[in-house]
Amino acid sequence: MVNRALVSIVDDDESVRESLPDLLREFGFAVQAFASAEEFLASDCVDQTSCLLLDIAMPGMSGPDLQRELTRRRHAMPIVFITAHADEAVRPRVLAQGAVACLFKPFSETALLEALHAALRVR
Amino acid sequence: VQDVTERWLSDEALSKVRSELAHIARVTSLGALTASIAHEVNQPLSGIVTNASTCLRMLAADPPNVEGARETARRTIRDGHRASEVITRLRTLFSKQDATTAAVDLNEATREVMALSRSELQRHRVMLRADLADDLPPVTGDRVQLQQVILNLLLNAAEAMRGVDDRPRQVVLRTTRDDDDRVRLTVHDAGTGFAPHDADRLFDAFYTTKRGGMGIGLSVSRSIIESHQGRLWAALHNGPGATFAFSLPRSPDGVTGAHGLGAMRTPAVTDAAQVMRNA
Repeated sequence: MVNRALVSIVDDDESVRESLPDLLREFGFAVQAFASAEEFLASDCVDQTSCLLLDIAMPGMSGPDLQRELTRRRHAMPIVFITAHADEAVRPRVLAQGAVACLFKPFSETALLEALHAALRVR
Repeated sequence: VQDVTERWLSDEALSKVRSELAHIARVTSLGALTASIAHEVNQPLSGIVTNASTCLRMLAADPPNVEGARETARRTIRDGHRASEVITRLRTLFSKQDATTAAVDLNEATREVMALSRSELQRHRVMLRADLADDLPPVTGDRVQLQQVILNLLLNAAEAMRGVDDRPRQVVLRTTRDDDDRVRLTVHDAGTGFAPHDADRLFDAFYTTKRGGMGIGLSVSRSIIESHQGRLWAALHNGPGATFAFSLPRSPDGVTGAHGLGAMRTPAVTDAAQVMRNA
């Protein structure tokens, strides 16, 4: 496989952390999954992540909180938000903060691939 | 004999009115929970779609990854069940049905309500801490009605902390066994509390301090609790916020299954009548 860019997932839902990595590996990416924003920040993946798949609502630090924190630390990386709250108002807000895309769960693999390609182009 | 028959009929009618009001209150909170429910269903749906996509890709590989495909198919099934469990819980909680009487494990009833409202609370950045007593005896009554009360107290607590930003938005939900063979549930929030002179009016029908509130939640809740021979009250405490609590008598020994409405009939008269007067 040519494309082994690292995609990191931050989502408090266990079934997402279980299912999404397998699909991303099928796409040919390297994958790391984290249960919280805090866990991701403490890991050594922050520097190596090519794209971050980020849940919005999480206990503790939320997705947008992490987005701001990464900007503050100058760790800009393409972010694709994934959320189970189909709230149309949230999309323009996170896009305005610099996110590449915002996918509402459940999303198709086509939508996911498009978002990932857009994210990696940004990079 | 005539008197008794008439009384029985009106009790029946009043019990029906109370059921209707409880149903309205449930449907009202259903509206408040819509986002939460969509979230609870979308999570497993997302797992289903992702796992099925992975499964197809594993089967299309050369050679096919059959073991991987099996595992993703298993997860698809599990997530499907997870979605249907959410729907089952909802149907139980929001379906329109007559009151039933059975032994109710208040801890278990509370856990189900917490599961349903979890993401709604999270969305409002409310941290919920549950402290459920291990040795809680069952109470006798209508499980769904009691869950409606718990849900209502929980959503009220979250609502009371809407504008709170200078302290954690924490709700502590506690079940305890009282000395006198009663079971107590308290919901303690860190919200704006209420004015001391409002303490009694809080439970009046159509009295509300909430924008968009209908003011029937607490009055129906009190009616439900009193029809279970219980008591529902509100208290202010030191520091910010309020405590809402109810206590119920524990089931007499040996009560396990559903039986008639006999135990609930007499108090239902006064409470339903009270609700109707207030309405």
